[in-house]
Amino acid sequence: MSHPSSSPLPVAEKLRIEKLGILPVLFPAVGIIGLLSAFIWGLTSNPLQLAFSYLFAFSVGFTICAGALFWTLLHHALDADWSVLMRRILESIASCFPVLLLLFIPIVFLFAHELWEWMTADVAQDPLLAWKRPFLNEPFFYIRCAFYLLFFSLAGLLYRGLSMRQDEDGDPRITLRLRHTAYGFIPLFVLCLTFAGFDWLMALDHHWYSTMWGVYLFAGCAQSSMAILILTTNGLVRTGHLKGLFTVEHNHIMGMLLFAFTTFWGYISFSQYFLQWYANIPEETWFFVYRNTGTWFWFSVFLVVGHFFIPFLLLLTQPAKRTTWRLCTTAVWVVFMHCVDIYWIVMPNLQLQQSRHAGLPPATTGFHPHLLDLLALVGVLGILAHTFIWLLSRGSIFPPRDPRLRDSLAVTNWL
Amino acid sequence: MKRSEKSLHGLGAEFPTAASLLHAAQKVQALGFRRWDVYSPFPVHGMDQAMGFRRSRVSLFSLIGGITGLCTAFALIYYTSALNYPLITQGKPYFALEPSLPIFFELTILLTAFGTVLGLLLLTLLPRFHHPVFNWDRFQRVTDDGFFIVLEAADPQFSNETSRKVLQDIGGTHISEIFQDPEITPHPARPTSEVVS
Repeated sequence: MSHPSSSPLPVAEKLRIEKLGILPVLFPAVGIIGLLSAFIWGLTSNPLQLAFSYLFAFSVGFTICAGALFWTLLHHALDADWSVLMRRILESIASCFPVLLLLFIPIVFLFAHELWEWMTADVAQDPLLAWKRPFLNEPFFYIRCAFYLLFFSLAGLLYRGLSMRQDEDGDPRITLRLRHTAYGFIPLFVLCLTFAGFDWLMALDHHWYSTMWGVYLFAGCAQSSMAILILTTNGLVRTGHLKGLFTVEHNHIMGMLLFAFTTFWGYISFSQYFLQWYANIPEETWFFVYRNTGTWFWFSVFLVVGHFFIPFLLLLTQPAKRTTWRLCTTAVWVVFMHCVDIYWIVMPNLQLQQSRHAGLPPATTGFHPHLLDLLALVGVLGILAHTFIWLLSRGSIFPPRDPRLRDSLAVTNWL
Repeated sequence: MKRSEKSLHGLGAEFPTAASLLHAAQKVQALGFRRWDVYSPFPVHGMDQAMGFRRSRVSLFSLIGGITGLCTAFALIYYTSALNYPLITQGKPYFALEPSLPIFFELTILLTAFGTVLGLLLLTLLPRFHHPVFNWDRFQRVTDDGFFIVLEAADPQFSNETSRKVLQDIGGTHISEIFQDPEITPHPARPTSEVVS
């Protein structure tokens, strides 16, 4: 814009690991200790609980990484300028997918039959499942899972790899090529995310269905990864990175997007609930009946208030987005509520499985947290955070030769 | 024809470019004038800050409109479906939050929009058919290539001599008195009184 074109462009900046304090040690430590202790304790005492705790932790990590890939693709497809400075962070989060691919292996070999009842259910007793058999069968299921994770991994690595190559040769054609690729990748991304949501989370209760499911998960992905982006960027600034480059205007834009997707999540989750409440069809309403039984009712109320109303009010005013500590506090809360959201989706199904194993009709009993939930979550997020820091330290923490970098530095919100 | 001081709207000055208008506005703002305005053919970036604008009060009208809308929606739904003509449909309660929320939302948004537009009209004193600046013949160029600052006589700091001096100091040309009432003279082509600086 009005930024004088004669001012020198910033040079590449490496991540200074020594400035990050104990984090580079803490993340791999809690990751390995969390996962190891969860597996040893869970497999010996309560494999069913471990299966669901692990799926919960995996889904939290998966949604955050998928959101980062979404923001990267969107940045390129829309030829955005404000986000160039933060794009390497998004690319690095999105490039954690190969690790998620590895983390999915225990689900395939250890937990699949515990998690998804349709894999072990008697089809002869279940005409609805027989109807869904062409889709819900094990070979096709694993092919689909491999396809989703390979697509996400390749897309993340491609976008980060070509962007890193541009750091060296400064070729503007890379920007064009990534933009054109994004047009094709966005529909594929939407399909993969939607069907991954169907397969991993919606099929936990294979009688239930919601046409809003894909977009509901997507809203949580975009919101939580924007919160993670706010936290990592401000963390880097606080540890002395991006000096003179990152401004309050960047925080303002990220705050606006966090606010937008908070509202979007509220809108989508209400629409999903509202349609099923109105139609009142048994296969559909059970999902909400299970989550309104016992203390799950208060958990659901907390989800609505905490995931929508609290961040909505916290982000409503301009100073809330332009004051670093207020924005970061809200972002921490949003990430916490995203974990609560995934917990609310996954965990009632554990109680359904437990009642089936006991030979009782499926029912939920209420919110019973287990230490394995925390261990698995800390384990998966620790491993992913360590991967992220490692990826970020491989090159410059922002793309110094991106043709749009100057626009990103000069970005202004006309108030 | 000598006019009375009372009918004076203010003093206008012309500036050659948008940049000079911006700098002049910064100086007028620094001198502490309150009742004054700038006029340009297009929006000038940074003019809000140069003129020292603070947050507009339109959002207060929006809030009042929104709360009115929410209360209206609640009263409408509750009165019609739970009090005046209670009817069970589909086994749903007379009044439930779920089907009411879209209506809450719609009426809140609708009356927020009404409140915003009304507040905007009230605060900008619109609509009006005429404005005293149109009595200044040079002002016609504001839709083409003219940049103007008008210091209004209603400002507590205003006086014909010092304000004229201020406009000269900040680089204004064609400084003219602008009068409240439309000019009624036997000679329609008579130029406005003008001081060339």
